[in-house]
Amino acid sequence: MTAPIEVPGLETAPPRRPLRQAWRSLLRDIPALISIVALILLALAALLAPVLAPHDPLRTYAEGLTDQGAPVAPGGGFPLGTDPNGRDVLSRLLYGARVSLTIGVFANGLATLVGVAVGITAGYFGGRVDTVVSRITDVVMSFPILLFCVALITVTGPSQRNVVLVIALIYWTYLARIIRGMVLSLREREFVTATRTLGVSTVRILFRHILPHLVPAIIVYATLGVASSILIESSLSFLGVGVPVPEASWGQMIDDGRKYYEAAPWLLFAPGVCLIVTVLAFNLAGDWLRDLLDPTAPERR
Amino acid sequence: MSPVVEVEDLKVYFGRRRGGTVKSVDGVSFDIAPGETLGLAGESGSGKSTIARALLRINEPTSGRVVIGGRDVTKLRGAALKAFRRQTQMVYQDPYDSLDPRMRIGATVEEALLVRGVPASRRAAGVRELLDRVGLPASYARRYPHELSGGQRQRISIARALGVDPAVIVCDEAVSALDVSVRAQILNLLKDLQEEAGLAYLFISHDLSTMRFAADRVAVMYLGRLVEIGTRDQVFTAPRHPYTRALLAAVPVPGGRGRGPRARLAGEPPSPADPPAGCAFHPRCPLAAAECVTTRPELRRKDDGRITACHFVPDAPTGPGSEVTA
Repeated sequence: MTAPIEVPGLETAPPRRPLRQAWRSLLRDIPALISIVALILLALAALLAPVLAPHDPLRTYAEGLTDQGAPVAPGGGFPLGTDPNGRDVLSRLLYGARVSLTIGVFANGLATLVGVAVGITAGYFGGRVDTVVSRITDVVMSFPILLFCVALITVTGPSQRNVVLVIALIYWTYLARIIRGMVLSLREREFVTATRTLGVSTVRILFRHILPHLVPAIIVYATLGVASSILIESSLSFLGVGVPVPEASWGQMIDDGRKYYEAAPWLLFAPGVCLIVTVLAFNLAGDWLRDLLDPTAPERR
Repeated sequence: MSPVVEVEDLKVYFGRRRGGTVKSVDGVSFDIAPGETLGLAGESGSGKSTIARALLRINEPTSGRVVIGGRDVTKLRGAALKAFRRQTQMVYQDPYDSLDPRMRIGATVEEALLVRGVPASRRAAGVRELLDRVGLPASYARRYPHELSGGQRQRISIARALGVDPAVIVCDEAVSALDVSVRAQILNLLKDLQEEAGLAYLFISHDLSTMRFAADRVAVMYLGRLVEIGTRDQVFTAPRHPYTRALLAAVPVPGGRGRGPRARLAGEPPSPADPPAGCAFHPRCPLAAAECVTTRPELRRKDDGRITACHFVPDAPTGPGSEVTA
């Protein structure tokens, strides 16, 4: 029997403590750390909106409008000013976070789940399943997104749940495409063949050998998708088929604020900054997560 | 001892999009005894790897029989196929692609034990034992493939294959990607394991020096067919087929020069999609005559007991045993 090959210096393999490892890598990645803190704060703000909001987000306040009927600038009784209807922007922002984050996370989460499942199935099994799935994605993708959404919501009636479902119904196709393509090439890789000829079950191959390789793409897509979903909802609100008025969503607030941005820039800034922070935080946190899950990434110390 | 692998008239054809078929493997027969290494030599495109892949049912054979452990495996499906998978394993050419880069070595090897139904409590010990058999310390179980060298990765591949306790291991250019000193280590490891476990190897290589070291018998392929088969010494010291001779002449000799003119091969191997009529080798053969262009020579036992497919090697006297399935 051949003697074991000892490689000095390589013996100190990193110990297996995933949580601690995650924490340490987070401390080394300041933008990711800030992002995660920001996401937690956003989530808390949305959850605690009724407690935190200084005013009723739906109520028009007499003192919320100047004598000329213009919105009040930030400061005083309204920390972020009021909108043209005399409603408190900060309160609307907090309640809007509930709507926008829900839509961003759920619509996109659902789309990701369906897209990955369908993409893997089509890519790995090929054949008729693949043909059918690919044609369906073709059909869905060939519609103008907004038109499709508007048509569907007109039929189903505008509500937060329907907005989530309709966005998911369209967005899964994009991820399904990407995933299908990746799986198509992954299944030809030698390590997949080797695992198959070992006699490993198909389910295990899919979950243990295919899925982990898709994680980077899924994370990138999912974090980008949060932004698109929130923005799609704002377009839908603009067209009057989003979350029903007078409930606030960031997208809606941006659309409203757009019209007055010269006179009342805070109407655009407040929800705009929230949206940018959210999107940026999701992306940066996603990058960190992707690197953390990649065993081949160089250790950053 | 009865052979553990019997391949009979194996044909693997691939349909092409623009019509026509590629006869990648066209009527190949051989067998391998337990504890024996059969070498399969030939240029790229000759169908060596297709035979390997057909043996493992990665590619479906078009026709013919592949009997492994007394059972025709070409028609197996479902659970029976899965059970057969454990008998035949493969060590792949590319040590960088044959291990899942996102899986720790331990998990990769453990998967083989999982397939064999080893209970979870005994798997860790099993992994350690397998790593030990291929000469790697148990601590490697925690590593990822990219932390290992090519030779170490091939050891892992071998450990994984051993994990299901196979009777046959196909080594498809298993050492070709390794540098020479590591190559020797892996070849020695394969030999040791063969002696330990009575494994049969189908050893595929385009490298004849490796073949000479590793194989007990050698089969030479040209364009999807066997042109010669014999013991290592027969094939290497007295090749009968002109193609085998040309292949051997192409092997560099240490010390170089001074062995007279080489029987050099002219041109490229023809496309398997459109093989020449008659003997597929005739366009490049120094002996080619009119007969070679029209009639394909069958693989026959020749006058000196050797088995080859060439019109210019006289057949053995006709009688029982002159038709062979080598």
